Amino acid sequence: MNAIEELGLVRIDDRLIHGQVIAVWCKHQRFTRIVVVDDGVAADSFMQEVLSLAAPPDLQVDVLSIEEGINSLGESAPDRGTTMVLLKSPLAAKRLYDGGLKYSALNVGGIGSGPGRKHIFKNISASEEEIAILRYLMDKGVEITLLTVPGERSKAFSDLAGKS
Amino acid sequence: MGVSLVLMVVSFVVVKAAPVAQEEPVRMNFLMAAIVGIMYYLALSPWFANLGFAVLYRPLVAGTLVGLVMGRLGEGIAIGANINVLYLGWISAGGSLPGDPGLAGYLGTALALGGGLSVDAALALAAPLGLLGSLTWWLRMSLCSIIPHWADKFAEEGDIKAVARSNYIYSQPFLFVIYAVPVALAAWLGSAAIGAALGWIAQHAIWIMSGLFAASGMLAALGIALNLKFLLRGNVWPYFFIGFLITSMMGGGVNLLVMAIIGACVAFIHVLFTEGVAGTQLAGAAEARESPGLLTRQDVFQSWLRWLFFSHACYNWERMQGLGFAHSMTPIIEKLYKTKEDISAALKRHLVFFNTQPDIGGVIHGAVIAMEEERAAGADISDDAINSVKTGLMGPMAGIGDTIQQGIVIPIALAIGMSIATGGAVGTATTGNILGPLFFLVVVAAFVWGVGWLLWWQGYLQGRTAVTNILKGGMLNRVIVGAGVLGNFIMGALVVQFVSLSTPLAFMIGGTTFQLQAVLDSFMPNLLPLLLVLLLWWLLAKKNASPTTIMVVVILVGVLGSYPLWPGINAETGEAIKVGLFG
Repeated sequence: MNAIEELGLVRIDDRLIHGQVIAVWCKHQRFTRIVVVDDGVAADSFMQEVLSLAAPPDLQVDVLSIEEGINSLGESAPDRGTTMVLLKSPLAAKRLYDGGLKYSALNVGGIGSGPGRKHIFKNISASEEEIAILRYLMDKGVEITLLTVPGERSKAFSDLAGKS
Repeated sequence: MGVSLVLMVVSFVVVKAAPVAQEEPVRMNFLMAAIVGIMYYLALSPWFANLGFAVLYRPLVAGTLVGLVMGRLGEGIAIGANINVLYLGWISAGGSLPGDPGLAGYLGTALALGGGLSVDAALALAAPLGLLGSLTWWLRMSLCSIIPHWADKFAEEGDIKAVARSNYIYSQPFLFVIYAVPVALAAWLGSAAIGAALGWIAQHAIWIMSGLFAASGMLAALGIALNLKFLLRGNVWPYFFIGFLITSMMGGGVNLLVMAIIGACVAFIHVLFTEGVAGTQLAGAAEARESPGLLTRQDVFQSWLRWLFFSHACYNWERMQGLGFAHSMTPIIEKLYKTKEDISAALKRHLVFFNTQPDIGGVIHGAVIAMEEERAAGADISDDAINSVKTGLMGPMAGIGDTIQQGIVIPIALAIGMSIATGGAVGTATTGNILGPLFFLVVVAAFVWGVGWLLWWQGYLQGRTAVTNILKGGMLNRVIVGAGVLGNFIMGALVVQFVSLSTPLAFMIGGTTFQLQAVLDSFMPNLLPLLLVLLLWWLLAKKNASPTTIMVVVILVGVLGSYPLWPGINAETGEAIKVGLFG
């Protein structure tokens, strides 16, 4: 039996493509493709242009809606091992997972503070609802790690969820 | 007759003298220690128009300033350059800070001078200190998360001045206490302790001194390998070896500025051949939007000044530069909105989470100022529209900005500055040239101020399309590809100039003495430094080894490996003696 190639990284980061992603992650691990999966950005041609112009030339950037993501990032997608999937929120991660795009690990890299969100770790905030979603994914067996960039201090979501 | 430009190439021969056991220490008094602590705070403070973090925080500059205060300017510069090698490729992105070059620079130089450690061994002392910086960074980012909540209340009342004060005044006592006080105390109390330890070593175990020297030389290899992890890839890796071989052939004594110019020419040719001829569309060529004319250039400039100084004054986990953004908008809000409700709404609009690279990201502020102006003139622009420009663009601009500022401008300007400062011999120079840190200061200031204002103003003139206009035409990609070539070329040269590693091992075979170093040199000069750099690069890039672990191992190998256990020859008398592996 052929093992399915895991996605290189599935990351929740509401700033999508930025310094940590380009200047650190992409130097630490080899990526050939960044796929932003977000309904809002998928409908915004200006932001799509900005995101593709912002990435270095050797990285392919695609912007997909959640539905497109579920359909085209599956087991038969090319170069899964060097693909980084960027999502804006835990909700997007759940919709992908429930839609059939399974992943075994999820990186929570950055969620800005906002109304209803409380600070949980470093530059990561989350609302009660979002924490519940992460817990749901954890119970499904997804290994969730809070980590801004490789080499930094990280925290397993299971440690955090155990306490609250 | 044309103008003839004479480039002075400083040539010299690196003489491997036995490391000096102990320098005459500077007596560290409380005043000196206090100034060192305050300088470390200042490097992380907002008072230098964004040059604190970009310039004062770098060990080359830190060493210079500490040397000045302690009356050992030349030594301070050399120590700073020595320490800085480890942090050449140091990048802090999105508020994450691995290691602390400023702490290593200020405290490391102070302790080396105050304890009487020889210049070329300072890095081995400073490197572990740099690790402690993560603690204060954590504290800072957490403590400053409180202040935006005060600002929220002031915004509710429409008190513009108080929001501004929260950013740049209320945050500073926190920072002063967590930065200046511990460093001042450590410099004051630590100097004597280091001095005593070195005194004991000089009496009882002089080999440790050689060990610290060897460890410093190897840590320089780690600094270069950390850069190569980013650079040595794709189809530009041969430039690393070209840079190395040219410098090595010339005996190391090449002016790095000259090497950088050669590298830039090579990079230009590489980009021309791989990417084709540059497009004709240039940044700023796009037409300006219709401005309603409520703001003057002076208003926009005032706003930029506040950002230039105070973008990171109250940097914190919760909203990052959110308060800094609101502060930068205060002159605009003051001019555009007159009722308390409008002012309060505008302040609250801009107090939300924001984080980007401060120079390149200024284009966003420019665009937001344009939107605020049009909104005040009656255009239908919602809070959501303004927010989506901010949140949509802050990430991509940070990605580009960090790549260019922290990934290209600062490391290359630093490398050249360090080479000028030490005459091309960071590992072995015992005194430094002030022109090195000055060169670095001028280049970075030109970038931070020049590019910063240019983008801010274009953002205002063109609105958000400034971003795509600037990025179109492929100019950015050309710069990044070219910088990869130049970076590899320079790193190759630095292996020769910055990594000092040799061995005194010698063998007697059939009555003939073979000095290992001479044998290695007959193969290829600087072979050991090159192999060490490549080994560390391989561990970092291919084995995902942690830089901290490598640092600890390197220090241990350098020090313990210098224990005189191996056969060698006394160069003067020719008799057999015991030597360490390195020397």
